[in-house]
Amino acid sequence: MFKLAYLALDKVNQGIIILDKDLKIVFWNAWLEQYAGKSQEETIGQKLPQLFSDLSRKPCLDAFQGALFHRQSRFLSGALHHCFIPPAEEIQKDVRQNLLVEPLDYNDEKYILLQISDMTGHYSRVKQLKHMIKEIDSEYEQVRAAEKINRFKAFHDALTGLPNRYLFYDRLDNAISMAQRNKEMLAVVFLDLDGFKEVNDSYGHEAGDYLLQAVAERLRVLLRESDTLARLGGDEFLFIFPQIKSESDAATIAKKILTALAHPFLFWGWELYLTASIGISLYPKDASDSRNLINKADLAMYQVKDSGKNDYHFYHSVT
Amino acid sequence: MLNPLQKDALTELVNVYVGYAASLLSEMVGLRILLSVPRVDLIPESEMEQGDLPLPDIFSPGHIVSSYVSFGQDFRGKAFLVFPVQQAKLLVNACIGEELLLEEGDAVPPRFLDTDFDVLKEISNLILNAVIGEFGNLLETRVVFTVPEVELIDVTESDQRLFLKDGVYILILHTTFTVAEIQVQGVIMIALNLNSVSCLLNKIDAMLEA
Repeated sequence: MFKLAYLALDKVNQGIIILDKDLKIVFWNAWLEQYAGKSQEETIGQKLPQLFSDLSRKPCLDAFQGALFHRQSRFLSGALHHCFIPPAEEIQKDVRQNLLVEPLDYNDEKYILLQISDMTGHYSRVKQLKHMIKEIDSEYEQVRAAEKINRFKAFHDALTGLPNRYLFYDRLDNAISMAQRNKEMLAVVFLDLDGFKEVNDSYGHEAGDYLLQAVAERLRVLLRESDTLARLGGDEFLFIFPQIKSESDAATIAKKILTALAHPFLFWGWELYLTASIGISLYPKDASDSRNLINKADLAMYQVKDSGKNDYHFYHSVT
Repeated sequence: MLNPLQKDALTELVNVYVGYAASLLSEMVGLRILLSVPRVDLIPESEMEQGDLPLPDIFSPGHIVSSYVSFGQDFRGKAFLVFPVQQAKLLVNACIGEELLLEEGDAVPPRFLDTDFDVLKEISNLILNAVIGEFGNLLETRVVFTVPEVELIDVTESDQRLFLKDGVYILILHTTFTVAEIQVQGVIMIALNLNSVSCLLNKIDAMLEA
């Protein structure tokens, strides 16, 4: 029976070592003979820490002492210790082994049982898996970033970076709901540049693009945090001014806009002059939905165009 | 359950034990690791059923990582080292030198791989052996240990305490790990039978009288 148990230990697919109290090897199984390239004749009777320097490190010696004197079992992982017994064929890099150290008593003598499992293949698969997870995470981040950019592009004007028509409608619907709830007034301002087509025709599209960007910049600085400025397309801009107290607030804003555009724009040494026609509609006075508010501000703006440009009109004053 | 003097004495003893474990851990991973137990509670298991106990926050529902060892002979029981899953991952990554950025309010638990469990197994083996071994020395009794098992448990409100049902009293050691400037919160819980608790309290009383 004893012989049978001995044979079984030789057959197991991991390294089995038994040490006596002086850390001398009393058993060295066949798996280790092949793995470490050292026969039983070479190892039995030898002190294990002297034979393999990795096993003379303090954590290993502590584990051996713990097993001998305190009957403690210890597990030492390949993740933290890498290798305890180097393989004979150093083909594999980054060898990882787990070591289990357990006390063993026999005939009033103290022994230590060591079980060594080669985890190299396992660690290499884990490494690949971690690499894969990292790649998936990074791709996911890229997709998220691209999605963010696409969402921005879908709702903003590419030339000026201002909200586009879709975002403007959405903001206006929200602003109307808010104004309705709080019983407040809001103004929709429709702005169309005067003479923009002439600048485009005389100085080229590059000048036109530059002008639109410069106008957007000048208008942007007039906004409060709660206001919205959007480019509808061409040379048309739209504003939402929520929480205004009276019609004169809207008039003041319109005057500020006209003043902001009064200074010339410099393009390649040329001084370009622009004015704007502005139409204003008010919630709830002129309309209570976004489409009508915009249409009425548009009508008011055309009234300015017809009556000489570079001015502002309220919708109700033109009807 | 513990009077203030016993509590102070036990806290001091446990801090010495985990301090020893910390120095072993530091040598092992090559990083300065500090372990401290600022608070110790001893509560009867029956009281744990009733709520209103000094249970640590990590017993809120969610994922936890628990490793446990059984120990026996004169001083008998089961010892657990318990971490919220993110804290466990933080500890493992600090020990193997990998970076882990936790996002606030991240509902997805970090991915745990087999190799992470091996690291936790070794850490808990070292700490629980040190603590239980020193209790054995204190009580002058032989303690036989097993190697810890590590589990990832999804703890729901109703079964939070089920895995503790192994002793009559629960000694709770609120533990803070500091690994390379990263703080990790965990708890050492020791489920003890009545006889072991009596031995421990008698020994502490004797020390206090001396």
